[in-house]
Amino acid sequence: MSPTDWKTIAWNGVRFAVPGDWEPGRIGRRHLLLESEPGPVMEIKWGTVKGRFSRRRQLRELSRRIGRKRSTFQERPLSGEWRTSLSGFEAAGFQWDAENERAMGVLLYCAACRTASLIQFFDWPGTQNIERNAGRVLASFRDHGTDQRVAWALYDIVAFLPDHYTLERHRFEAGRFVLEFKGRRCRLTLFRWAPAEVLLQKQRLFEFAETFAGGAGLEFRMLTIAGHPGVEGRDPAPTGWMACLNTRLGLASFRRLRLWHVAGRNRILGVRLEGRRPIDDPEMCTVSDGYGMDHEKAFPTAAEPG
Amino acid sequence: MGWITKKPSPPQLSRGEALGCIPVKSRHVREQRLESGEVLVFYPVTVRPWMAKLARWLGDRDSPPRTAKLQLDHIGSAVWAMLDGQTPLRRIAAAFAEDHRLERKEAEVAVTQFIRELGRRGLIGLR
Repeated sequence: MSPTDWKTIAWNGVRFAVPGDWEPGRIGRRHLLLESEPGPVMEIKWGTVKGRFSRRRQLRELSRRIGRKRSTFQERPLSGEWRTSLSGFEAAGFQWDAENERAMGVLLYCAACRTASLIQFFDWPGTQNIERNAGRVLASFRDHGTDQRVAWALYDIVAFLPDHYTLERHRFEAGRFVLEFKGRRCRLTLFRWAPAEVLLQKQRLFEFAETFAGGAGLEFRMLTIAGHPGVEGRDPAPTGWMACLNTRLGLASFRRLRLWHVAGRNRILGVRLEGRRPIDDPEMCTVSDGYGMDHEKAFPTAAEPG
Repeated sequence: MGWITKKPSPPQLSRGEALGCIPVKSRHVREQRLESGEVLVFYPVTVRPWMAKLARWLGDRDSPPRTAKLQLDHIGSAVWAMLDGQTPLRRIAAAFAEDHRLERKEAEVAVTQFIRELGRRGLIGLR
């Protein structure tokens, strides 16, 4: 992706567009630090506000923390472009200057979803168009959806998941991404591996699933998933009165796993669901249909601002 | 909610500068390409000073330096083949990304981790 292309980043409720060469450097549950080649370019933190939101108090707190680092902090009126972009939010601008670094940012509060977000853009020597890019990033910023689904989009994967899935753990390692969620009735794990041609050189997809996706002991069948060759594995049906009793009592554990090979992108994608009850088809289809590569999943364009 | 707890400090060596470094293989390293296409690297192992002293004390004065072996997998062998002492990390990562259709950042992380591991074992240096 070239720096002139823009891409969407979506993580735990928020989403926004960034230039193609801005990549996540640090990823937390409610924190992202984006970097380009010269260094960090943008940081965002967000959270749900309990009780009344006080912009003044948050800015005072921010000023105190930044001032501790021998920087000068000041509130900054929003430019006309920023004000228009952020019309759906209660917004306050700020900037700080230290010896050889500078940042400007905005504190946002959305009354609809009671989310407060702090976004700041770093101005390193070598970072270009920071103010112009910042305006476009802010114009694309959304902190809630309208369809009970939460979008997740980092690097080359995109997932639209029902909002009852909450992120528990995530790992983005070279060649292997794992996102673990806790849902109402089951736990969900999304996988992405690369490069597929190397990983599948000495083993077939179901063997790979058994070894690397926790699919040992599952019964596999071939399947086409989103137009890609794949496999689906599930635990054998319980037999015997003891197993049936355990299932009735919710003491048994059931897994269902789908892996598919996106040959055009040289990736393997996977979805694993685990629960105390057998995983039904709609549950599995909802998550596996909502998960894919970035070129396969389009973001809805008509989202409500704010 | 906790806001910004600390500002990111300016990196000692920026990512751009780090990617501009050129990895160079050690002169003491020997390599052998296996039939499978994988590379087997032989490299001298430096003994800790107290171990060397102990060995001398025990009468082991003339034994040749110990050599260790490292077998690289297909991906590692492909990256190893690109270490010609002239190509900077950025170009190696870009070629690796293109060969395996990986994201640029992911390829950079994979290549730099691999290079760091080779450096830790003394197989390469950076200039």
